[in-house]
Parts: sequence; structure tokens; C-alpha cells
Amino acid sequence: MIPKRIALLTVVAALGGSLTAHAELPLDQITVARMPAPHPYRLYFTDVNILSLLDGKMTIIDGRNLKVEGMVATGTFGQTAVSPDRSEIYAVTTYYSKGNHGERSEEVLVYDAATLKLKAEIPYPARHAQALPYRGTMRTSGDGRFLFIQNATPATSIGIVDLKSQKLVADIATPGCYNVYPAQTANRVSTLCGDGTMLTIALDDEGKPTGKQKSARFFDPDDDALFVTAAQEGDRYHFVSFKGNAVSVDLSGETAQAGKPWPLVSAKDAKGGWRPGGYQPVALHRDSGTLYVGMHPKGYEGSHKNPAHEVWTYDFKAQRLVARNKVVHSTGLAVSQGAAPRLFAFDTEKAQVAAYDGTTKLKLAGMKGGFGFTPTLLEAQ
Amino acid sequence: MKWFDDFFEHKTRRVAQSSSRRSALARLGKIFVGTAFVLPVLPFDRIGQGAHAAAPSKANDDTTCDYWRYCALDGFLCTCCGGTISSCPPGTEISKVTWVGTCRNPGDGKDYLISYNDCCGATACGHCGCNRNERERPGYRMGVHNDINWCMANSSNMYNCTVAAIVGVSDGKG
Repeated sequence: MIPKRIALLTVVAALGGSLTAHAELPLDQITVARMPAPHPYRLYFTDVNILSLLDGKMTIIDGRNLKVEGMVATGTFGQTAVSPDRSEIYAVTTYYSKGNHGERSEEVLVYDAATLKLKAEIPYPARHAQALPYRGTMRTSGDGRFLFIQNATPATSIGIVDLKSQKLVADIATPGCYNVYPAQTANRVSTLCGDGTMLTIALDDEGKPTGKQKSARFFDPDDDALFVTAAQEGDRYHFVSFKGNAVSVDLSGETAQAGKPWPLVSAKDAKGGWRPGGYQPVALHRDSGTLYVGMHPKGYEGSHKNPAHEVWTYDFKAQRLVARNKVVHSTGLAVSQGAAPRLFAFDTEKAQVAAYDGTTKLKLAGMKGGFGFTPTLLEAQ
Repeated sequence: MKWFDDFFEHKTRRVAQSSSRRSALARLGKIFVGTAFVLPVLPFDRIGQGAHAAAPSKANDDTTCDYWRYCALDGFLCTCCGGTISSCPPGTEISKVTWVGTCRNPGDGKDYLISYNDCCGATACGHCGCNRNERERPGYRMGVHNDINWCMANSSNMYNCTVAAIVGVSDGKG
């Protein structure tokens, strides 16, 4: 049955009449929006959706006003990465032929970041790590040509997908190691190992491995383990440890070189038992060399995923604490790059993002929850 | 710790590649193993490094996250989902691979090796979410890592809940 109102409008339109006597809103033409132009405050928030694992998603958020710009589906235990030029979004994921059972198939989804349309599906063997998404469960190479995918069956390996030929070109066994760290300027990928070292794999132009080099031991996974999510600065990655030490690792050579560790917590601040915590405890604003670390009080063995109560801000070069700010409880940090940085502190339980302006004195600029259900990875443009 | 690293690397590869898992288990020595599944072994001498003590009443209630066996459990408690502390809910499958924790029982003061098997194949339980991480480590120590789906090796990877079965007891030699 056609509603009377639509019928009337149809008649009026057919007669070429107008409704000027009783001005009404024009009829809409339904379209599909395009993504707004890219900007430095765009956020990519990945949610494995623990309550409904079939339906993970990445929400793309305008960090200036915390409005949703769009979202893409990431399937079951989807791990995500964004291309270096931010033109494509990738997810490696699992599907079953009958929803939650049947034949398992795995693939890499390639989304066009300007339209959020699926532009390619690359077959992948059934072994990607079905993990909480972290920065480093999947990354692109520095030049964007390859995808490095963390596998776990639970034997660990790194899958290398050539985005040009859209094929898996290598699967390199990395026993006892986890999370991928691409070099920025070379065709190499590294991974952090349970014996306290970093393993670096050199690749040829086609993405095939040409050599493996292990670093010297530089951390103690038993006494003071490193969080695997790190802040990247070119070929260097800045890590923090469970007990509150920082260490930088240089991946510009064939063997990873760790710097001298330095304490985030001075003797004066040690009172209160402050430690880093959460899923993404560290963020770096590269131009200013400002390092942000999410810290929780009364730390103990096992508190390393506790949400931060404060963000501690460091002059990274000077290795000096410059400010402590109370923040809403957060399980991870990301910061926009370029002028006027904005710090984003997310909370997994509330699927919330809080935005802070300033460097020494952080001022809450906005806060919004409900971006999915259990997001654990926040990338900034 | 070299021994442990080598052992663990060897073991994780076996999980994926070996069809003879029981023979590997037979070599565990100190640990009594009560399950058919492969368990990476954690040294007991790391216990007591500032463990998070729960109130006694809650430490004995296995439907609360404070229950002593849950010291490194991240997931939904099967005791709230139709299962028990050591049985998966009806209609699910026991995970083929697992992570472990070492937890102190306040009742007898002993340290137990706990296998946190996931229960798989159904939809997520959603009741009694729990996230504790004593001696939990990132994926470079996969056998004690809990931010990954331990239903990964089952015919259906859908995660429902997690049990906490005793599979070993410290020999007290630490």
C-alpha cells in the first residue's frame, strides 16, 4: 500500500505542479557519502568485539570532535594496519562458511581508505594470530609494499604478503618471538623474542628472506618484561617495561641494536609504585620528542594490563620527566603528529576515547564512548 | 633460563606439528599432568613476587574473578556459563592448546600449575568476565600469554569461556 502522502506527492510531481503555497522540504536523493579529506586528527580504532567475535570492526573517528567518519568490518579476530600513506586499510581475518562453524577460510581484506569500499581479498593460510589486536600483530613494510602478519598456531611465524602481486611470498618461522617491527628505511622486519633479544629478518626485493640476525640480549622477560607495543620513530622503536624502564632499539642495521635502558620512574617518584600498563602504554610525538606513558599506581606482578590513572610526559631526548597529569582511566595512548598535537587516551571496557590538548598541562578536550565493544588498538593518522 | 627458552620453543612447535603429544608430556618430570593437552611448563620458583592477595572469602568462590586459581585468567569464567572449574559448558569443545598460570592456594599455601583451557565452538558466554595477569607475559612467551584465542587450533575457533584446571603442584624445592 502506498502511503497517502507519497501518493499525493507523486500526483503533484506528475502534474508538474509545485507546493509553493505550502512550502515543504525537498525530496531527498539517497547517496553514499565519501570519507572527508584526510586530516592529522583521524583515528583508526580496532575492536575484536569479544562479545560477538564474528563481527570485529575498525571505527574511523575524527579526533577533533570524536565523531564517527566511517567503519569497516574486520571479521573474526581481525588484525589491522593502515598503509603508510593512509590510502588503504588492511585486515587479516578468519571466516567460517556457516558463520561460527564449517570450513575455515582466512584472508587479507584491502579497503580503499577514501571510500571504505573493499577493493581486494587476498587468500591467506589459516594461521594468523587470533589475538587481541595490538600495534604489531600486523604492519606494512616501511615503503608499504609488503604486509608483515604475525602468525600463531601457537607456533609463531611471520607471513609476508606482497601487496603488489597480492600473494603470500614467505612464511618465516620465528619460534619464541612475537609482534612485528618493520624497519622504516630498509627491507627488513624484526620481532621481539622470549630470550630477551630481537630477531631481524632481511628480505630481498620480492619479500623473500635472505638472512636472520639475533641481537644481543637486552631485556629480562622474567624480571622486567617489555610491552610489545612500542612507539616508532623511523628505524627506532621505543619500548617500555612492566617495571617502568624505557629502552630504544635501532633497526637500521642487519642486527638490532638496543640502547641503554633508562628509568621512567625516579627514586623520588617511586613512592606509590607507579608502573606503565594497558595494551598500548606508550606514544611519541616525533617533532617535539615528547613521549607519553600511561601509568598506574601500586603496581605489582600481574598489574601490567591495569589502566593508566595518569599520563607521564617525558622530554625523550633528555630522558627527563616533565609532567604528570591525571587522566580518565585508559588502556592505551596515541598522539597526532605535526603541529598542535592532541593526545588520545582510550579505554577498552568503555570503548571510549578521551582527547587531551597540551604537552605539560594536559587539558581534556572531549570524551566519547561506545566505539565498538572491546577495542584494543588505536592508530592516529 | 636458556633451558626454558629452548624447551618452550621446541614445545610450541610440537603443538602445531606433532601428533605425538603425550610423549613430550612424559618428559615433564616434576609436574603431574592430568590432561591430554600439551602444557608449556613454568618454573615454580617465580612465585611470591608480590602476588595480588584476594580477600579470603572471594578467593574461595570460583564464580568470582578473585578465586585463587584465576590468577592469570583472561576471559569468561566457565563456572558462570554452564560449566564448572574444570568442565566446559554443554555443547562446547575443550581447547586443544592452552596457556598456564602458577597460582598459590591460600588454603594450603601451595603453588599449583593451572591450565586455562578455553571452551570452544559456541558463541561468547559474556558472563563473569575476568582479567588477571600474574606472571602473564606477552606473546614472546606464548605458553603464559592470555591475549590470544586458545581455541585457535580447534575445528571451530569460536571462544565461549575458560576453565582453570589443576595440572601440577610445586614440589616445594623452588
